[in-house]
Amino acid sequence: MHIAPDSPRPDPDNLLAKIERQARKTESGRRNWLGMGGEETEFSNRKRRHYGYLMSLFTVFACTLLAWGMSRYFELANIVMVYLLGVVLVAVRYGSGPSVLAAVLGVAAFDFFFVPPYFNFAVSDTQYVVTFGVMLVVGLVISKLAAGMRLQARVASHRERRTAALYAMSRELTAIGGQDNLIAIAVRHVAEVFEAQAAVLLPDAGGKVNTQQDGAGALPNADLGAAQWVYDHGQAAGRDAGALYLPLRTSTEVLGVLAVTPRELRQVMLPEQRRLLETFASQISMALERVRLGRMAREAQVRVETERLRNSLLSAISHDLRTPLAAIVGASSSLLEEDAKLTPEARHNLSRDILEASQRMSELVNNVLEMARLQSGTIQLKLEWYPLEEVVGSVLTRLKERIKEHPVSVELPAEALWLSMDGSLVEQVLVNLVENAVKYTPSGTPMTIGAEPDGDGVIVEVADQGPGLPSGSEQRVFEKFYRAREEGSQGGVGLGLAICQAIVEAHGGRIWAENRAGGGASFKFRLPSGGTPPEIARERP
Amino acid sequence: MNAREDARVKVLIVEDDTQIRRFVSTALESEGMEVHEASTGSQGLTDAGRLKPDLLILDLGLPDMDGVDVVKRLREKSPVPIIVLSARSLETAKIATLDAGADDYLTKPFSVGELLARVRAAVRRAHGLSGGERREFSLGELKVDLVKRRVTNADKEVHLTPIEYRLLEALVRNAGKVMTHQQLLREVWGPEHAEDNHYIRIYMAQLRHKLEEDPARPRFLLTETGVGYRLADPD
Repeated sequence: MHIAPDSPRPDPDNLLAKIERQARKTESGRRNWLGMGGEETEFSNRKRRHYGYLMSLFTVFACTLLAWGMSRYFELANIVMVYLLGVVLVAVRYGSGPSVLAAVLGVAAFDFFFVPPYFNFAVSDTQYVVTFGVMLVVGLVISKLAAGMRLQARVASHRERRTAALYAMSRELTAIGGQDNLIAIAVRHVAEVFEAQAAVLLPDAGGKVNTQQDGAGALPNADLGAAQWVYDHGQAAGRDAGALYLPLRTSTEVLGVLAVTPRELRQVMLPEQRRLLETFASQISMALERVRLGRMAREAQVRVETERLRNSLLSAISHDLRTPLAAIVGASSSLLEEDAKLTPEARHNLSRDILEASQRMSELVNNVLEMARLQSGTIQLKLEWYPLEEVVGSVLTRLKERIKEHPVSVELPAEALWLSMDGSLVEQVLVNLVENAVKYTPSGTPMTIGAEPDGDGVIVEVADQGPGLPSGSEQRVFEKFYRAREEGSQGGVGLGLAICQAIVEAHGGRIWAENRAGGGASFKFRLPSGGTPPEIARERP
Repeated sequence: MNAREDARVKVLIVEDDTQIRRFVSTALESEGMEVHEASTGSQGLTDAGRLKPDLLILDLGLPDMDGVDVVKRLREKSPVPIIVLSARSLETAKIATLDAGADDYLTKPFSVGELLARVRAAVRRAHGLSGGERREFSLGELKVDLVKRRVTNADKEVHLTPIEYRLLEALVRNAGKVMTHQQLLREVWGPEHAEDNHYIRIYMAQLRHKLEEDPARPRFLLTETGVGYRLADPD
């Protein structure tokens, strides 16, 4: 059964009351229409209505007793007031049906007991017919007004409940950021307010709606076909199984589908409830839209950033690859073409230039590859226990040639520092830091490699006594393609320190740079120790 | 050692890149070695069987076969020293190749100097092995008497625990060659410990503190981080 979109209606709240009344009248019809539940409710409704009429009877009886007592001292006109008072009470308390009954019964009782001839419905004096008429009309008008008042009060409280429910949901929806949280909140509120099972179905990349998201709510007999139809057509639909599917739409598109399976279908089928549900749906749509726009803005920002990075990568690489390549092409072509004219010394110099240029290129390619490997997101640390001393030793062995001109002192505590780390990667960090110091300090400048325990970790330092970092660049030096001095003769592409940062952070550590009080730069990184190294069975000495 | 003294050293180069093959063979020929070339793995295996070279230089990135498989196939037949050339610099590739039985590993790009140093060391090791069991080893001030199991450093006797000695002995017998963690664990502790690199690092640190002047700047016991250890070449 497809439900046509509602046509505009004058006042939904009055309608609610009317519909509720109609629903009572067509009890049996509704049962067939819903094809579910309702027996118990119907029973209690009927009982409540009968109780109203019963109380109406009782009130007239009480009024009669009271009037009986009064009749010796008061005129008949005042007796009429007693009955009208009864009608007002019944109308306020039990609604219009019982109060009409009270008005009619009141007239009858007044006639029977108080209008001569007594205990007889006959009327001796025709002027009493006017009294009856006025009394009946006044009673009916009162009953109408009082019942109306009662309805207004009910409408007001209903409105308040609805506003509160909507407000509660919107407030939570605005406070939340992630889409999954948002959906979970929406599902919870809809489920509470409509006493229903609810789910938010969002489309996947292929435009097929599903409830794969966390907290999207469960729908035991979700009809994905129906939900898909609603998503594709942007129109609400109900199913015979008792579920209702509403599109979550913005002005331009459908974002998803809100599926609701109420325990009692009237919860969502009454036009008023339907309107409320639609208001919920539009609130959810707005929140979804807000989250989606936020995400799109972030993605756009990332794209801009990626683009910027790509551009600086291209310009850096083209510069740093072309320069040594130019040297290689130039020198080697000279060697080939000018061979006869070259002195042995010139030949030697050209060959050396080729070698040095190739080494620069090799370093650049290594760094770019290393960075790409670290950033591919698949980097898996090969964590093993290493004494820091061994890694430092390996670094010094590896860089023996590079540090010939720079005396390096090693300051490690006497007690061995064991760290759970990827030894090759941490060695790379130290190699890059030492090479960096070699690059940026004049030949002969000493440097220090030191380490000290720091809580549950170790701080390692590579310090030099060179010119230090330009002030303000202490953090920027770790950015990709950042060079302290542009177009310097230092070579390198500005990736060495970025690689260090990526490696240290992959270990859950931190790296920073500072200028030393006595001059020179100091690069420090802190690695967590990763627990205590496992004990091994020691051999007998 | 001088290769010209006895029969010329015969080297087989298995490499698909013409330029690299040319520069390697030029360098080796200028050292007086006899050089043969192959450009595929299968041709290399055939030539190795036919020519019985004294040394094999093998590129890992061959068009027809995985280099590690070539190493394994060669090792089934002969103990010929194998130096592997590779453009892959990851430790895992190095370890796999060395564990398969390769003697040494050179990452591209490399200089002629590096190549020749590795070639000389490999030839010398092969020579040493074929000359019967080694009795004595010296490296600078460090002397190891493999018969008496005595270690002296600057003429002072150094007392080693049995495991420390076995570790040093394993490195001495393969001096100049990288021993992977796994190879050392098998030789020193036996196959059941083949997974625990932590053991080696503890004993290696102890050994360094006993033998090295400054353990943070080792001169004898060198680390190939992530791969294993190497005793410095006597060269």
